[in-house]
Amino acid sequence: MTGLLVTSSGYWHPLAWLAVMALAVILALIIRSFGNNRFRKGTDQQVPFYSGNRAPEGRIKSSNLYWGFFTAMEKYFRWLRRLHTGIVNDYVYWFVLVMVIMLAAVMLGGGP
Amino acid sequence: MKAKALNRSLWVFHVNTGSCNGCDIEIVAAMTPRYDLERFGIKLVGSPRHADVLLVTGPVTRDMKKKLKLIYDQTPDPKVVMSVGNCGNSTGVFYESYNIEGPIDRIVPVDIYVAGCPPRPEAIIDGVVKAWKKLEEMKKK
Repeated sequence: MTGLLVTSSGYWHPLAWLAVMALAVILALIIRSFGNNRFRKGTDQQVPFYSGNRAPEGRIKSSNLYWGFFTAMEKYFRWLRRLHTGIVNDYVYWFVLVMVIMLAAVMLGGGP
Repeated sequence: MKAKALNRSLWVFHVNTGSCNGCDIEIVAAMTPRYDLERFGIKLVGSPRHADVLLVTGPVTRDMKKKLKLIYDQTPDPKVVMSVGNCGNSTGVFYESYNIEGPIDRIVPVDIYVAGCPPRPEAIIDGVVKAWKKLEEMKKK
């Protein structure tokens, strides 16, 4: 079949991938439709509930849950941040590099 | 029930603005197996942002005035406010007290008044059903 890539780990087909993505999007939209859409934008209806009080500024945010995680892997994240230069050329370079490595892995990994 | 049913369960948020807890106990009684309000899909929720109905008890103490207003503002539209008990309806035995800002309808618009000190669970359930009908009317508009 056109576009079918068979490897020792299984197969890959663009249409199968599209079908799975479409299913995922449909599921996400269905779950989203269960949400409450009665909130008026720009009013207190969008303010978090804090037992009837105004939520204080600078409170502990949910992202602080990951403080230990970030601290333990600080070196790794510092290295990752350095890679994020904000220059599109760099990102395309990484994209091409990863594609080449993946293609090489698929080709060298061999098919049946 | 004659009113066309909501296409989802009716969620209620309870605000105590200084009640003696008599009304609150009766609200809890309405949820117990004897009255079992949940069989209609009606349940108490932990945040006004999830609620359709604000169920308010107490005469509104000075400290609770701003909080009640904010909770009302945080409830998504359309919403119905129910005042449960004589204190909320008219400040009751706390009438003209130095520390009272109520009754509730002086702070936020009230749609349903449930009288009693405290009102019986049947009266509270009747009030919730009226709130349900009112929500249906609001939805049609």
